[in-house]
Amino acid sequence: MSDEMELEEEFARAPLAQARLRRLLGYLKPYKRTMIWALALEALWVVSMLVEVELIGYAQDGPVAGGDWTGMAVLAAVMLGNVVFRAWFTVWEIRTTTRIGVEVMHAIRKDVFDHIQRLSMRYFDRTKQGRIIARADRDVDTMEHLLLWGPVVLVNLVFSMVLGFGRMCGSHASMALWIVPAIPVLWALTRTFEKISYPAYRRVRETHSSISSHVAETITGVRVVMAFSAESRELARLEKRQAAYRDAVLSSTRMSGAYVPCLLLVLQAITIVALVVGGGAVASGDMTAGGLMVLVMMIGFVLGPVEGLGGLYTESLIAGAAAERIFLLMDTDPEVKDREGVTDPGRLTGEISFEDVSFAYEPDGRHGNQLEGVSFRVAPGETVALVGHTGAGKTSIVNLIARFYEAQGGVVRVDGRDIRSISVSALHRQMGMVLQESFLFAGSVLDNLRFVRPALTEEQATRGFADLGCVEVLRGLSQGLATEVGERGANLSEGERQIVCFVRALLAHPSILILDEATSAVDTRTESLILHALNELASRQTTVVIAHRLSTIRHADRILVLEHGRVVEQGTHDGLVAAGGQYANLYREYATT
Amino acid sequence: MSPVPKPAEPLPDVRSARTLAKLIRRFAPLKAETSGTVLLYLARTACDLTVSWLIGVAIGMLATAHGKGALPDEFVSAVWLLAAVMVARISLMYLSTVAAAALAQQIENALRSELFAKVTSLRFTYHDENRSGKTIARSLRDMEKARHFFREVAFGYLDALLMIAGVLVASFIAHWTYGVAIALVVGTAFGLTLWIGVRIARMDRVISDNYDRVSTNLQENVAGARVVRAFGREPEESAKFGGSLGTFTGSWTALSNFWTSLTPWIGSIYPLAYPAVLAIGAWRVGRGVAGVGEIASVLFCARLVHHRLRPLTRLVIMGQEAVASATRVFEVLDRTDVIPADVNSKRLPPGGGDLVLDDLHFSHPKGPSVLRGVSLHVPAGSSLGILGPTGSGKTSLVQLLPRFYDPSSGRILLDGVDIADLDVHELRRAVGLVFQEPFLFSATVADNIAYGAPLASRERIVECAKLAAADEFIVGLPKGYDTMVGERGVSLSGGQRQRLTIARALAMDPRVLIFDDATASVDAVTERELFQGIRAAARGRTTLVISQRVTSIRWCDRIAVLEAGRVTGVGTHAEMLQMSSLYRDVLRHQQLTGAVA
Repeated sequence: MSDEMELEEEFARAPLAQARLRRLLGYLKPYKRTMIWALALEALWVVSMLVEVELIGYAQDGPVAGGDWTGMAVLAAVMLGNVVFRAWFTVWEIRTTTRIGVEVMHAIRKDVFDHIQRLSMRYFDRTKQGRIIARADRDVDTMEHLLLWGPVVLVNLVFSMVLGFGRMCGSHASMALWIVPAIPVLWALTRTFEKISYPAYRRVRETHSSISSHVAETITGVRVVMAFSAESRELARLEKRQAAYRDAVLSSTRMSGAYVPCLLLVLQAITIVALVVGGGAVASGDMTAGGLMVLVMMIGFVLGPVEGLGGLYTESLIAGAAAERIFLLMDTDPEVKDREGVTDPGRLTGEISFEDVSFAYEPDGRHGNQLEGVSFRVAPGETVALVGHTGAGKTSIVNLIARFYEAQGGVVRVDGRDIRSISVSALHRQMGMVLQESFLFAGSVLDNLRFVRPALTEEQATRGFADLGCVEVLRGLSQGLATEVGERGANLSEGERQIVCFVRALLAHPSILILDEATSAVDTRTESLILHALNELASRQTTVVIAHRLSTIRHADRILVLEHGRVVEQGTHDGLVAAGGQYANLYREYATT
Repeated sequence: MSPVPKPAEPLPDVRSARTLAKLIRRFAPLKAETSGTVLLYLARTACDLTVSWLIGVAIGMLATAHGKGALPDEFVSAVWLLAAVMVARISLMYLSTVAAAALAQQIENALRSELFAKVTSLRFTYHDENRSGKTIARSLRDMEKARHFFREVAFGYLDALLMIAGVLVASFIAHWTYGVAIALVVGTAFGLTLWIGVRIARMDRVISDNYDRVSTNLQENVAGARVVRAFGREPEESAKFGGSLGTFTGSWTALSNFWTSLTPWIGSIYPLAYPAVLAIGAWRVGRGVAGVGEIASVLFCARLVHHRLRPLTRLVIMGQEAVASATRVFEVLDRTDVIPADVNSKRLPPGGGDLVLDDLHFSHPKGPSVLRGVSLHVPAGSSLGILGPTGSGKTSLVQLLPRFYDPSSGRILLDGVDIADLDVHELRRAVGLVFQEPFLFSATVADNIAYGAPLASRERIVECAKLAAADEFIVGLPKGYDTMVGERGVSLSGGQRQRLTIARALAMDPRVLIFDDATASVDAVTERELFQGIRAAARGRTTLVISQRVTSIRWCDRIAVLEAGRVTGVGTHAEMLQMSSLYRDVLRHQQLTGAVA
């Protein structure tokens, strides 16, 4: 995924539409009662904080001013009691809130993942991997803080403002009038700073991600950097990016660094006003010194939350955009899914037939059809090779047999039944595929084989290699079946990866085996062993092979030659060479180089 | 498929302390800036305290004016003074923030440059896929966590500690009894906050390890979407993901239980300062040695610390993480296995690229020997094909030429000079390498070709592209030679990318050209296309071609067969057919496996 795209998403802001919000809150529904309790306790927390200030003021005027040592001791005990009581119920409150948050996040993550399992290959073709991952990963993360703490923080801030203001009105109404205009001023300040620091902060992120991508690229290509003696040039390039980053950070700090001082300016101005107005009230006997102290402390209760509310508002916009993207993914309808009335056909014989099949990756026909009226039949146990230039339609045929996609025209049949009447999972579980990219999961070799057969024993796994004539390859691995293959199999060579994929496919006991350039990276000696072994196993299942190398194709019972999405010839190797058609041309072309 | 359980490394305190010292020492070269910033923080803290103190004083003045009708003059001047200090405080706050950012940024950039330079100068262990290689790759990611130390962590702690010290000073000035009470409360609260922060940071590492597993699980599932569907394993994948997600959620819950049961109690320690101060105040007022103003001042100052303690837990966690990451960064920075600097090195004499390999032995550290006495001579301008099965040592052999590694014994002479005596950059400019994986940078086609020769003219670039049979597809690209390629550019086929890397190697006009299994991971059609490029490029230049396939090397002037680290035969194609049984076997098999399309 390109960094710009990632930034674009990160900076997207959108208020959450009501329907989406309701859906999001739906996750909280099972916890409704508990949630209400927790919020009530949060309100109680604010009350306890106000009581603390109240008690300080009361002490100031009473026992402290009077030097009443015993009176103060009683009051201190009350204050202590307040603190202990507050801590006691807060434990329950925050534990409950975090538990709910953690469970809700768990549910959302699981739902997103499960939905991804239902999506079809066409979705994966069109959407970059990074974007799909970002949905379940970063976007859920983005919502986490808001879902976890949003309601609690909101209750806290609102209660603190309302109660503080009420208290002020009660004791000194004119002071309350002074403080009211400060609220919109602070709100405007908060929003303005959010808006003007947004592009500056964005620039910081952009310049930082340009450093990251440069570093990542240099490390990936470090062999090339060294081989071409470009170390100092790459360092100069890094430093140029770092300079841009530094400038961005400094200009952003110069701007956003003024925010807190500006807030403070307003708060302090109000404090001065409170001292002067309250001082006058004290002098005229309307207020006590302790009362003035409470008044000054109360300013924080009323005005402090404005900043918090501003932050919460921004956060809700960012989370809103993330939620929007998550729901968009969850609303994507899978293209290939079980129709009503599908059945599990039991063990398949592996007969395949195409009847006038047309297919395009882009259904709107923008790039033309990949297959055009293709018809053929493969008998159970037969081995068929697909031959043709790149783009001739070989992989499309395989993709339709595997039902990664659905054909736009014609019918694909397996065992004589329309493939759409067979449950997708039942079909896939009888299929063994060795794909062009030999994809392995991080874990041991054995783990990867257990992917298709969870109960596989080590013995059976070893036999799997033996059946393919590749026991030598298994022995060559540093720890045999226990060898860790690394992320995407990176610890194995390309050839070793292909062999593990091959064994995996055979261990699935397929009715239909599909080989898409399955031995392209295997060294020649091993390849001949595999081909020999495959010959022995051929009758166990129907085999469809895509290959460029003659050896693989020779073993096939029949060859289908494809050109521009049509089957132009079919027959055996010798027959086709003798016929002198397209296949003979391809063959000659190679033989003369 | 359970991901490899990574044991959560403990945070060894000794190492952490050493790393901390190293991190702090990074400020040393910027003495003036650092002391200036610290002074600003000091002044800012003093202003904070003065503001709180003055509010208390002003309120104290009113205690005596209660009901008298007019405000005392001293109260009015106190408020004026307060306003002035407030303005100073705001300015200092702004200045200190900007100064700290500028300082931290400078240190961060310097450290990153240093690390980057180190990584690109380390001996060639990085690409070995071994543990140390991963450490190095990770160190640059660690850098992005370590950098938080310089701004957020260092100045966050400075701010908190200065404030604590300031409040203690102020309260001791008021009276030692206040000082003792506040010291006890602050000490306990601060100590417990640090303690819980460290504990949480440790649990946090377990959580993020667990989250890494969730994340890896997800990434693999998406990357392997086709495989998952091909075998119909969606339900199992869901269950597996549920498992790793459950572990993650479990560790989260454990942390939250720990945190939630302690935090409120730790948070309740500091508010105990208020009744304590009030009680002391009542006692002092009762004895007639203090006024209400003193108590108000101490109380307002005490509230300043209260606000600093709340975000401290987060700071401790960030600090722990920064130090742990920095430890790994310094591990790399302290490595000494760099490629020797170009002191006392000889210049390469003029020559055509005559290459002599003299009894080379080589093994990776602690590994079995890979090369066991390889001697070969490649006359200037000739080509040598090297054929050998997987594990025969052919790739190790070519890695010795640009000195990615040094042989354990034996030497390599290029135009009569031992390459160990040459300036390493000059040597590498004389050796053009085409790797198995065609790696391109995110840059234009022209920039990629000129990667090793940045001053090359456009004509020269086009010439090299033509030689590598790349020109024809390049001119067909949207912007020709100015088309962006690499990760963020147009996608090219494997064969196209490989042809660009051949042009790139040619642009340096190297004396020796090496193809390290350059056609291994391309399909048969592409392989044929590449041939034209390789053969044209090799004309008149010393060329080494490594391959597993006879077709890739049969055109070479001479061919060497490498088996288990030894050369078992050298000769022309015809001679090798006579001489080497391995060669014959491979060829026979190859004829069977020829490509059709």
